[in-house]
Amino acid sequence: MYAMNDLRTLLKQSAEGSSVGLKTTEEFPPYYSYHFDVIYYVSPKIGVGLTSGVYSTGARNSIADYSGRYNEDITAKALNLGLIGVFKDSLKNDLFYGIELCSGLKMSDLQFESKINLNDIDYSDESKMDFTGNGWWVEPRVRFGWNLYKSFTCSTYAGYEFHFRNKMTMKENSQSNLLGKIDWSGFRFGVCISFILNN
Amino acid sequence: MRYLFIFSILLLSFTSCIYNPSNENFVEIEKDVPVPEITDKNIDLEADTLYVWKYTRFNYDLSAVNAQIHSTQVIFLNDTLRYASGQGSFVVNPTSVNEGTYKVKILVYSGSGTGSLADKLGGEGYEFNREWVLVVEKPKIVDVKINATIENGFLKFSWDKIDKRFFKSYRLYIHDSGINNAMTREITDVNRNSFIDSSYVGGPIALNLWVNYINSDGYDAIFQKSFDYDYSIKIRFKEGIDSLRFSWDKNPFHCSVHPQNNGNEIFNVRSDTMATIRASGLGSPIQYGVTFKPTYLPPFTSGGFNTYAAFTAGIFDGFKHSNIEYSQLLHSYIFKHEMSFTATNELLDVKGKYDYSWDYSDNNTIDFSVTGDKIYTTVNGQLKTFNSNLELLNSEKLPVGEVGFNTIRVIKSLDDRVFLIGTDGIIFLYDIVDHRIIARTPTVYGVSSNFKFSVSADGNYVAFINDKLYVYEIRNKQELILRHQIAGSFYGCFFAPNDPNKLILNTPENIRIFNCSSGSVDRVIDRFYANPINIDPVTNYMLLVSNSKAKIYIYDYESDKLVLELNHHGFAYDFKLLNNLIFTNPGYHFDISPYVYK
Repeated sequence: MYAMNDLRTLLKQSAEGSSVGLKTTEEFPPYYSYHFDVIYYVSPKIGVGLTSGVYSTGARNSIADYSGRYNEDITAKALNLGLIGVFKDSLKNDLFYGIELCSGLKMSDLQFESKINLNDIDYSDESKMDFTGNGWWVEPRVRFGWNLYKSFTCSTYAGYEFHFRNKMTMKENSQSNLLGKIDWSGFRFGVCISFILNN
Repeated sequence: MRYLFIFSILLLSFTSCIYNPSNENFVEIEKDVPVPEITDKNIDLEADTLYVWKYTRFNYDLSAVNAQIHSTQVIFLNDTLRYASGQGSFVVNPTSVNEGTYKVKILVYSGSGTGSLADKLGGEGYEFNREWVLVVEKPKIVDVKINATIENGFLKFSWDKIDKRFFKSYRLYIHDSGINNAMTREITDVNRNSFIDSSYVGGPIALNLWVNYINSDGYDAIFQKSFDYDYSIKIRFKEGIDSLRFSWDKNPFHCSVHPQNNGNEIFNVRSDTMATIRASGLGSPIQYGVTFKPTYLPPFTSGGFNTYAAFTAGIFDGFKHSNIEYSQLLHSYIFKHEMSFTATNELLDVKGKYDYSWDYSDNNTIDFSVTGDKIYTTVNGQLKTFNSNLELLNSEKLPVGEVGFNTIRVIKSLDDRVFLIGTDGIIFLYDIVDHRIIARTPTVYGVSSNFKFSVSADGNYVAFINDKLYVYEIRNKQELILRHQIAGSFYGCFFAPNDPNKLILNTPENIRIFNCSSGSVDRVIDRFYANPINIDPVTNYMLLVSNSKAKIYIYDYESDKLVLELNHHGFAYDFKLLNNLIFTNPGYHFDISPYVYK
């Protein structure tokens, strides 16, 4: 889940101000994020390491009929890089739990794209605007896992990412900023496969 | 290092799994909707032609039902005006555009009315176009033809219709001289290009037509045309001995007809084209008239249209005179007038004429020389001698002023040298060669009329009447001997032309034929209550004229036979009978030959 309050407001204003009857069809829904952590355990229970993750979501205002279509898309993606601190302890029967804290740099990209196609007159047009910006995040997690086989473990985690909203600057014109800030804050849930290198 | 490589690969692969919005808001749209109908509030979409004669701005405000009008274009005079809506305008200024016919086209681009995305963005719609013929004409009126016709008894004026947009009104100014009526009308309906004057019944009428219109500057202008019409009605006459019929053409206008005789209406006339009255006979022309009164008579008018004609019996010859004589030798009539002395042949063609400014006193004198080849008269105390063509041969001043009386009543050439001169006061014999009075009578006062003077044709006697009748004998052209002096009342006298001894006397009781030789009355004629005027020297008929009975009698006094009786309306001494022509001094004559036997 992603807060994206400012972007949601922009999306709504664009639809309401439209003269062609745009409606919001997608509004920054939760989407798969991908993570890769490398953790070194300094003790059987305490580990530190690097964490990374790729996030994306998007939104759309749309109107389409027999004569053509017009869509306004917002595509947001972010790359997290940071440090992770882990406390892990075993439970019975190869189960374990962990408490993690991550924080790091989030590099966000935002793209506004509007596209129109009119069928009968074979007319199409599109425009794009790209924004970029960096911010900080902190994410506490809890994890429950299972030692699968040898060095493989499988776990599930839950946490909340606090993203410190940052402004987005137009890529083509660094003097222009987006009206509003990007906010990736939200709950995180996931499933993880781990390989223990130094068991 | 190996782990770092694996980390990087995995990271790159994760970045390709980016969220991509794919949902759409697809709306079902009804494609088959009616074509939008274009309407306008200003320019007339139904008209085929636009007319411009002054600076004109054409506005349009087009709208379409269920569709938006995106833009319009006006194409005119190789120019295109574009408007991003259904509202627009274009200007036509005749001062900068030549007269002629042009085309104006308006193109309208509207949405389709479906409500689809393309419709909203202007990618789907209709193109309408409408074309007009534009007629540019500079207001001017070159000519307007007017005519007048008679319809159903009324006078109708019609004129060219000014079927132009710049027309304002017709204004009529009409003056009917027939009934002295004037009126003004203003007509604003361009199709009413006629006017009926219900009171016109004849005579001159003038129509002044003003066409009011708007010129190219937008100001009022006027074109003016005049038209004159005159329906005249002539009166014709046909006179018999006892009756006179005067007739006229039927008046085609609605009116009543009122004939008049010398200003007096003739009643009981049953015809509207003629009237018959008692013949008025000879004399000065009488004015007859017909008044046509319109059925509708406007107030403050003259009451009707009058047409007049003068008529009298006889033929107009134009020789007004105070005396006339006929010379059988010269076959010539001589007319003496206050301003002229005229000789004609027997057909009354002028042979000669002598004019003078005015003869104040010698207005009755005509005489012929003994040989008949000369003609004499007196003008302002001068004895004039002419040849037969009235070429002046001599002019001799007579001593009438010396004897105190300027009006010469009679002259008689005794031998072309000695003349008998009879004035109001005396009678004298005058020698024009020696310029001396040979003999004279005593002063005779009161001889104030020409018909109270007469000299016999042979020059032996002269008679005049004042308090008595005086008859002088002219003896040897040297003496005037009083032969007879008869008391009594006498109206006039004249000697018989073919019997110079006989003096015809007009008395209150009768007519006497006095024998100057014997001094006795040879005959009394009492069958007429009339004045004897003269005896025709050719036929010897006596002319008698009765003022009271208004009758003229032609009397063969030798055989005592009344030859002809005529009416007259003049005065007895207006008439004279010469060579079977009765002359009247207003310039008419009446030929009695068809009615007499000589």
